[in-house]
Amino acid sequence: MSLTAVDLVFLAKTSTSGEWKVVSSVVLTLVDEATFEASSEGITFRAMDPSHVALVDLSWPSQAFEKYECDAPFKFSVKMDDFAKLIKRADAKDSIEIATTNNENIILRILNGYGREFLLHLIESTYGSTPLPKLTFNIKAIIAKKAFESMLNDISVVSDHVTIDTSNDKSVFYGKGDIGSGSVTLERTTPDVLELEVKENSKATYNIEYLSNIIKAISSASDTVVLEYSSKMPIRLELKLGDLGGKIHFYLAPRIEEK
Amino acid sequence: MLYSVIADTYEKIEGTTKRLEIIDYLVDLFKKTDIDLIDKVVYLTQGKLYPDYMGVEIGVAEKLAIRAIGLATGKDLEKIRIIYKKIGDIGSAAEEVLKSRIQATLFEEQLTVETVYKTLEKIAKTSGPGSLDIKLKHISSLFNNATPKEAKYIVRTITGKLRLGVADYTVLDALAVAFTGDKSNRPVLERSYNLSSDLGAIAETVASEGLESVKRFKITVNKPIRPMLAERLETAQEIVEKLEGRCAAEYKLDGERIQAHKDVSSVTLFSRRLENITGHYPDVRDLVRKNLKADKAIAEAECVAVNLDTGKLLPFQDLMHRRRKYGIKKAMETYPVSLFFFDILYVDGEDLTQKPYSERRKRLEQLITQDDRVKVVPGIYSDDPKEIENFLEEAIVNGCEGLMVKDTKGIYRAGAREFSWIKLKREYRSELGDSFDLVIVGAFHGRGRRAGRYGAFLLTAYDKDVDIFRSVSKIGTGFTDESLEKFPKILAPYKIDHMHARVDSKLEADIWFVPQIIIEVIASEITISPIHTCCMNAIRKGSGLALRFPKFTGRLRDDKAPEDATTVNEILEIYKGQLKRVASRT
Repeated sequence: MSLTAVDLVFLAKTSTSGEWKVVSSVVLTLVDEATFEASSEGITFRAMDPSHVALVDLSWPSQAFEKYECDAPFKFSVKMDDFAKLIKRADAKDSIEIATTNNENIILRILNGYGREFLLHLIESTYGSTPLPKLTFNIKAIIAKKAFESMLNDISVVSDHVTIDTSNDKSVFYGKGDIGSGSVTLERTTPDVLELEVKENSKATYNIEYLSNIIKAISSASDTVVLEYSSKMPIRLELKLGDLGGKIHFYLAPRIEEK
Repeated sequence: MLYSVIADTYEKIEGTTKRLEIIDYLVDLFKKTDIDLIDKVVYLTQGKLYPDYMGVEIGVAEKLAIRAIGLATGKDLEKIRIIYKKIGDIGSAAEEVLKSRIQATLFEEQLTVETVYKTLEKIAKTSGPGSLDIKLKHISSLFNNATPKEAKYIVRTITGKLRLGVADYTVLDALAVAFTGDKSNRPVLERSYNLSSDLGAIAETVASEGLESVKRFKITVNKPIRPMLAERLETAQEIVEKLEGRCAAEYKLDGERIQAHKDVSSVTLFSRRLENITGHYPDVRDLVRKNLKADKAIAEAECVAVNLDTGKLLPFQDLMHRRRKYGIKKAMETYPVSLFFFDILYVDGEDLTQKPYSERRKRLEQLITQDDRVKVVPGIYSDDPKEIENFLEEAIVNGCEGLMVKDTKGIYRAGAREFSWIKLKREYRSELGDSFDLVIVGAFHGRGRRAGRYGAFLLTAYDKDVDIFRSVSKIGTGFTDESLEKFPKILAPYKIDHMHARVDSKLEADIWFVPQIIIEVIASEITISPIHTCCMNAIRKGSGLALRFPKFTGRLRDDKAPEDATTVNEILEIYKGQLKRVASRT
């Protein structure tokens, strides 16, 4: 290995390739280039899609890595297409190591018995920094990811948007389209509902495609979805990035209700 | 300051056909504007970001605007194109699409003038590989927070289609009212405008420091001075009388008028319309740098295409090959030019515009190193009409358009057109000695062979005192099939559904246009007309003046702004000259 401890700026190693695969899928649902920020605490990423409808806020703490070193805060921007293609080269059980010694390239190593090493040129990011929306949520529900995903698939048969109507003991998800309508009811007592917290009855409508894309991208990295929203306000989904503390917040603005 | 304030004003201006109302709306807007934004707001009302001479255009193609609308609204591009095709105006199409927006955004905030201006600046300044994507992001970021109405005007601004008809003089009137409370102060603002060509800077000065500061405006190198313009008379005799014998006759060359600004080693060239044309003429830039002996200077010259082997001057059409974006080096070799300096306005801290012609000419001769490419324009001092006529013949033999006869005691009045400079051209082709440059403001459907195209056009002369275009001719002669094919395309961007606020016409055209396109016209004489509004009541009560037997010469004057068209005063003078000649014949 060519790196010496002296000029090492950054190194992050995961024992499998799954997390990076999820991260690159999630990022690709929103933007075509991404800026990751690394510090001694871990890696973070935040970006909004160009139409400002959805936002991803990812935090991946250092303890979630097999090996993590970062001497000083450091940002790296990549073309997501290229980055994802490299990540895809790894098999599920391969370990992935990302390292750099400068601000121009990152070195990506796929390790499993033998070493594969790629050098990827960094790009100049054209996105500015993204703030987080200031929101208060009147509803908080923790639902099994499987149940949430199948609800989305159900409603998408009849509509491209889903209305979530939550009152004291249940959340009703429904959609209406040209062919008809459909609804899925998750009661507080449903086994797939792990928690339901209602400060105020709330109802809002969201685009299904955005929700489905993120749920597909998260794949099996998260077994639950924490769903938070208020009437006519953005929804926030909290998803897990593996079991070691990595976390993704996904924000989606509501549809404007027809008058 | 919210951008909606500007958008609301645009909407009001669009809804009126009265120039006075436009001024009122602008006055309201300027009064509501924060002082540190007033220059930007002035530029924006004219669809610009900076004064023209900076040469910065936002220049977003419609295709890109449509992509940005799609990105911001999540609407299918094909659907947007269909809406655009149906409506025919990209701004209204954007408005329509945004009205049906069903998706909210995460960070909704009202657009401010600051945000819009800064983003437009970024869009204008982005260039090079990948710039399209960056522009796309900037544009769609504006749409994310724009109301449908705001989106309409943003799209029109970025695609160069705002066209509210807010003329420079209208802005000056509105600034005078808004910040001095009195429209009669416009001449003070106008003077500083003529010296600086920067409405925004004047607005900022008058708004923050008042009228007295505006009065102290000085000439600055690299800020173009609005050119002094000439009136015209038909004979040397008339000119000698008008100038009481104080005549300096110069060749009037058939080239491009250039205002050269020398700032030590850098040279900037401005066209007659004050566009920065340095890029078109690297050879001229070098000639000015070498042959104008001053550190800082502003001088005017005619740039003429020339055959280097014979030294013969070539017509304007040859020179126009130089006005191109690409292949400048090759054009420079194929169409070399000569420079004929004819005035000097500023030298090393000294404002020469207030000096009489004779002194400026002397200084010019001292400061220009003449060689085979660079000359001081040939000229004579004379009070003898015969001698001037002979000089005119000589000029024409040497490839000139005619003569420019100047008052030897006259100062340089920036932006003024008066009888201190008088054009004299040889009579040819028509009874009237000269052609007219008139602005198309309307068109009439063609019949017979011209069915489906424009059959005739409504032409206007410019009334500078009130900034109005007055009808002087309905013209249908002189158009080839080819030119008739061309006109609908040329005029399409300026089509409006009512008579423009700055137009005065009793004739009802079938189609109306924003006054923008100038064509060159000849005619047999000027007659009294009850229909046309040019010089209404000047000769006879209830009647104006019109061209008799007007004919299109085939030349589009795209080198001229509408405000540079033949003026109603010129028409009146020519009419009077015509009467005199009739009288002397009988």
